[in-house]
Amino acid sequence: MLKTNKFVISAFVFLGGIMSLHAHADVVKVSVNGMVCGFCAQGITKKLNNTQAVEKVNVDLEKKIVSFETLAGKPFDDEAIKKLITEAGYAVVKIERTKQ
Amino acid sequence: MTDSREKKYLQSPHSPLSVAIFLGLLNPISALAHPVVFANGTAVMGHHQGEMAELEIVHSPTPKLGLGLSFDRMPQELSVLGKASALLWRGNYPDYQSNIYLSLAAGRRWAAGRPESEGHSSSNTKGNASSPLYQWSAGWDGEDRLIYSMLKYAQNYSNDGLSKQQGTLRLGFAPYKAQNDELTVWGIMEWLPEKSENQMQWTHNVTPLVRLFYKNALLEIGSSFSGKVTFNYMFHFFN
Repeated sequence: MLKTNKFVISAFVFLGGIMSLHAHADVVKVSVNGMVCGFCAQGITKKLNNTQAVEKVNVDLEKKIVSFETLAGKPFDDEAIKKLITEAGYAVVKIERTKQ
Repeated sequence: MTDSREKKYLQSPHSPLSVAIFLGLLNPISALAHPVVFANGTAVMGHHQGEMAELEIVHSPTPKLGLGLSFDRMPQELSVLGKASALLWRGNYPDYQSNIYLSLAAGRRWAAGRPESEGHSSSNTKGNASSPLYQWSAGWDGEDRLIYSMLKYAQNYSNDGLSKQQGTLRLGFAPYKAQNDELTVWGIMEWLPEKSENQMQWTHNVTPLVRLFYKNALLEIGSSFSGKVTFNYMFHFFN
């Protein structure tokens, strides 16, 4: 019985650890100026995905918003977001962050 | 070398002309004008019009620099150029983007059927009428999701000085605002004034084009008022 309990607890700890790796920390919405076409959207999406600190990147050309979810344990602060998008050639207007 | 021997050499399977024709058939731009891509991005651009074909491959190591190679094929001439382009200015507005570019290029030109200035051509001893070629160009483009405009001017220099001038003006309209995962359709009017060293006057080529744009691929098809079929393409690859 004791052995079984230990096994169940270990399994929960292990699964919890795995799940925490994919847990989302923040939902981020970045207002960006200068995005007018598919090339802009593709490039920004690729840049963000390359950081491996975000998931579910979406570019809305109509609202001029780049949105994504940050991954827990992988800090991606506003300065880093601004630097990435500015270096990609676009202008960051505003960054909104919502805790999950 | 006589003109006829020169022609034979340039038309042989291993001549630079043949290699460039092959490259030109595989790929074929400059009228599209994306001399600087995305940081760490690469663009393959092609332009076919009538008997002219052009291929350009550009890689941008930084957001403001593009390094590339271009292969141009004309009926009696081909050229290969190494090109460096700078994004001098970018304007990012809520619904509009505008850019100013400057490009400098250097390479070699092979001409068939007309003698180079024999005293200057360094390769005449090998039976090849080739000469250095230099190019500069400056361009501006501006677009929102419904209107596109582009202006460009280029000059080519060979041993004899200014050998070619070319301008480009493009105006485009999209019938609807497409999202980035939708097909975008544009109607574009292109005006290409051009003057070569052996021409007394400028020639003008006006071409209506249809542009299809989906994600990282862009295609343009049209036919000029003088009957020249035009086909352009551009693919962006992001690292």
